[in-house]
Amino acid sequence: MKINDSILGAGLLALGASMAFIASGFASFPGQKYGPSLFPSLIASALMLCGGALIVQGLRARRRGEPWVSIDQVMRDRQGFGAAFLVIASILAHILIGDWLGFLPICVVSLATLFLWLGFRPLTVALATLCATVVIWWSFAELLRVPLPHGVLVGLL
Amino acid sequence: MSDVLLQALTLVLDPYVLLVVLVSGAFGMFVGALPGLTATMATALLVPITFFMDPVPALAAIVTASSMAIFAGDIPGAILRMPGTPASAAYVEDSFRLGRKGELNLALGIGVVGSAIGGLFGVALLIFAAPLLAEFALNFTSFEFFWLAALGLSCAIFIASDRPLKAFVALLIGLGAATIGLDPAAGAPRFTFGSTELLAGVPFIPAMIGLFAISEVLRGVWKISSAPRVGETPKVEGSIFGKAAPMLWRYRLNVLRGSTLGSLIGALPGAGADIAAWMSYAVSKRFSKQPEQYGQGHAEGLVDASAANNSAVGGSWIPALVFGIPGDSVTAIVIGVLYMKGMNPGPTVFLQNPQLIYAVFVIFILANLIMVPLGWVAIRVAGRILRVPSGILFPLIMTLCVVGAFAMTNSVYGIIVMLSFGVLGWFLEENGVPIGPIILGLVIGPLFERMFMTSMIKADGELLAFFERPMAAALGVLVVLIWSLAAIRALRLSGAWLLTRR
Repeated sequence: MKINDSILGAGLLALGASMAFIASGFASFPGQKYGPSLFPSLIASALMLCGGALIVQGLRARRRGEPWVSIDQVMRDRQGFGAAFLVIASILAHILIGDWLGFLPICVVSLATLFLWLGFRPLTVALATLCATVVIWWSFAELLRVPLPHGVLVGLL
Repeated sequence: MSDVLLQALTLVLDPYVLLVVLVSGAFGMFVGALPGLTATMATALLVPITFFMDPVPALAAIVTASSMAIFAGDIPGAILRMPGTPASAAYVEDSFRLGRKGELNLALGIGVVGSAIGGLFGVALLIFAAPLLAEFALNFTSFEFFWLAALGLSCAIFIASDRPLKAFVALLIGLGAATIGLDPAAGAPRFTFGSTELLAGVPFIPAMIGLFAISEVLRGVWKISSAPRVGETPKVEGSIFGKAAPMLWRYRLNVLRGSTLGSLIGALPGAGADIAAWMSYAVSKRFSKQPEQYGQGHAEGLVDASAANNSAVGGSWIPALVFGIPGDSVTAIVIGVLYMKGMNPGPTVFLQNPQLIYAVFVIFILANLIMVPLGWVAIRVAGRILRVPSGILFPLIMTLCVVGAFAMTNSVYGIIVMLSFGVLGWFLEENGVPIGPIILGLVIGPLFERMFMTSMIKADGELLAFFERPMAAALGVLVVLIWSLAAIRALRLSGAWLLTRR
């Protein structure tokens, strides 16, 4: 997905401006000439300058006929789009319900769904999911003692 | 000196460290040999595990995996014409055509032996130059370090990218993200929006996993049905070293030239293995007696460039260890790891922990020696590695990323940071913004700001003080020069645009 540079530039301009605005509220210390806001403000101004330059570049490209947003052929692929969606959904599941449900159920469901969606046979899916889950749990939770959430399986592990 | 070396040897020649070297070497080979998975990604996936190790095995894992991955990128280049990492792209045409002529063993033999020799060359420069530079750098004040960091960052923008404006944007995003948390001078909270987790700043490892692994996974699964299926691959037949050795001897001067050029380019901040390969390939062609043969399956350029990209790996550690300024995204990760291990990179680490520095040297030599047998195995089983379906790999990598990011904060906060940077990295790369500078900015940001603030306070706002010391002045002038040249070029380009419009 390619957006026109001017949109990117406008976004950066907004980012820089809000950074500068927030930075202007940082505490300053009496007797100290340069406070915590100096460096972020410099970065914010540079971001705004770059944003401006990108807007100019993008508008020139527009005049040459570049569209505001162009979506290439690869992105229209349904299987690919679905897979990318599933990847993000799986990670979001770990973030949102990971503590409650636990790592293992989410890991099993997300891997199996992704493998099935990508067209592997059920037996392959079952084997790959099982092996991966066991190896990952064993090496991280047991060997490296990472406190992966047990969730609903607490007491069973 | 000799007892430091002895200490270093005992640190490295420990069964556990040697096992780490072997395993991470095999891992690096595997990741590098798969097209689409880069050396940076190999490092990014390893770092969460190194978090649980002592400094020496942790560094051993990173050094070995990144060296192996840079060589292993040659394998799919020669077999499928798909470079495994960007560093192998320069000579993919030559190695693929050699393979078509039935000389895969020659192409890959040159790759593995040339890489090992080049790698050792890079290490030699590292061993020779780093302590000398460190002694010199002991006299540096905040002014010199400020300019050095500015120089490193400027090089990253103007050398390593064909789109300086967008690279600068990426750097600013990294530097901006680095200001989140407590400020280094007064300890005031910045951009934390009341969150206690943001007070500690953006955790560097989850951000890096997101930028270099999650963004690749997203891109990879999206393209999965349009990606070419790997069917039968040509087998590597005949002796791997038997044919390559005489060829390397015939082009021994090219090995020397490629390695020297590569290690110097690697030492430049901002330029890494891929640029080293392109430049030495170009130089090789320029001075060759048969330039017309280049790109037709000619071994000469292959010799130069495969020595060059691996020598750059060693070279790139020079600015990282001596000044704490990363040369490329892999050494940016290394610097982050060094900080986490309490070994603040910079000239003083050579005084305080010389045995650790020498241990790194020993590991580098070991990694390049072990590359030859491991590379031999990887070439032999290449067909099988390349047939591992990417539909299985990408979901696995995703899960490893989730676990790795979680392990860094022991909470879902790490996963949140990873996902945000992953989507950001994917979106920016789609729009031509390189993501390497983000990690440079994130890693170097706190040091850069501290040097800048210290210098500003010392100079009391007098900007000329930044140029008062001779070394600072020289570095400062260099930075100003780079920026003015870039500005002139940009103005010329837009001037030309205005003229053509009229």
